[in-house]
Amino acid sequence: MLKDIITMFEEILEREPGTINAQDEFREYEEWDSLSYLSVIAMIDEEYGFVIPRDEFSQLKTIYDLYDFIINHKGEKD
Amino acid sequence: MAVCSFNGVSITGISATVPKNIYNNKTDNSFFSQETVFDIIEKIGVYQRRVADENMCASDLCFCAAHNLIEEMNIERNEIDFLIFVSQTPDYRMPATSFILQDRLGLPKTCAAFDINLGCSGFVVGLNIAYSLAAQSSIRKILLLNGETRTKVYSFKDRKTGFLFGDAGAASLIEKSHSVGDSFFVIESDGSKNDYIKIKCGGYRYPSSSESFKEIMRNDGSIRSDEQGYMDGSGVFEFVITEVPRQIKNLYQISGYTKDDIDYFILHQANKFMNEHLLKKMKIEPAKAPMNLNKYGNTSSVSIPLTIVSELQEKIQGKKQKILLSGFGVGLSLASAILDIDKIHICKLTEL
Repeated sequence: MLKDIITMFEEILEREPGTINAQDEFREYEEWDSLSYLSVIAMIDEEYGFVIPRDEFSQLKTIYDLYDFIINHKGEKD
Repeated sequence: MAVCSFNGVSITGISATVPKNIYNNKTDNSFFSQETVFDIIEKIGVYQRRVADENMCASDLCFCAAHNLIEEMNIERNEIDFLIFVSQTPDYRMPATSFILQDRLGLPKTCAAFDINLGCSGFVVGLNIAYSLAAQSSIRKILLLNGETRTKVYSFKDRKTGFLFGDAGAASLIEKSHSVGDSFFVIESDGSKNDYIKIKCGGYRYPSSSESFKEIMRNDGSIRSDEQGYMDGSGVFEFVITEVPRQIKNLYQISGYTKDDIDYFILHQANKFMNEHLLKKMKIEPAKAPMNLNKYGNTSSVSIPLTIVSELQEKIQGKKQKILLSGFGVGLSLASAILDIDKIHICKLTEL
């Protein structure tokens, strides 16, 4: 599943496969902006069935943090 | 809980008018780079919108739509017992614009008139009120007007709002109808998010001043004054994709209907990205949920009747169907309805 999240970032940021790593702080990417934020929230909602509240999302730094958050919250809401 | 149901009340006619002046988002905005423009309009799906000139108000668009409806349906003016004008761009701060329209439309003095200050949820809320009044045995016809000149509210140099909104007016007739069954409404409010969509200055909390009209550069490079509208796009997005599917699920439970009973889903035309996400999340076929954002943008409370007129005229006119409506936005306010409709008259879209 970590790989799926990395692929999701590659798609949203239109980056070549292999250029994104789990330990990257995603806000540091040049391509990251408010529109990519919306895409990430929407794709997680679509794939895992929940909307990450904005104040909680702001605590997440790396792609691994996001993965960890999803693992811990998946299935809490329908 | 604000849940209402009605039997034997229906919308029987809808008409809409847009300004003839077209603003092309791709070519007419010189403030942002072409790349930024492209990214924004691809996401929001608004390629052009209609813009009222400086002399055109929301009430002018509504007058035109209402006049057409009255003429085409041969509505007896003396039978209109209520005129409701829903808008956040009135002619004056006082009196309410509904009085100006009552006079202009030649409606009798026996007609009650009032305004409702609501945005994107305003068609569904206005309709709920109109149905409640129409259910009274003494009441004959209700004219519900939704009009907005949103392009006068937002800065064209604001990346969150400068490409999104369009101007339009709509008129709907509500009355008793023996051929329709039950209709259901649910309305909810979350005032804790009143800051999400707001014009800070120009009311009585923060009156207009020389400061309030100053154009200020914001964190994201957008330029806007405090007399212009502000929108927290990501906050609204989070709210809508969480709460709208929940409210609609609730509406299915209340009504006893399922998704498959609904012929058309007419959602407030907020922006393409959000609307498409809502459809996917609620597993609604896009063919049953038409969009007109590409042509008219987000027209706030007018977007639902405008979509019916521009996209569904042939598909709904004269038929007996069930339609689901959902409006969501400024307040924040959420309102959804399932209507049983039969033989609605839908006027052709007009330009002013």
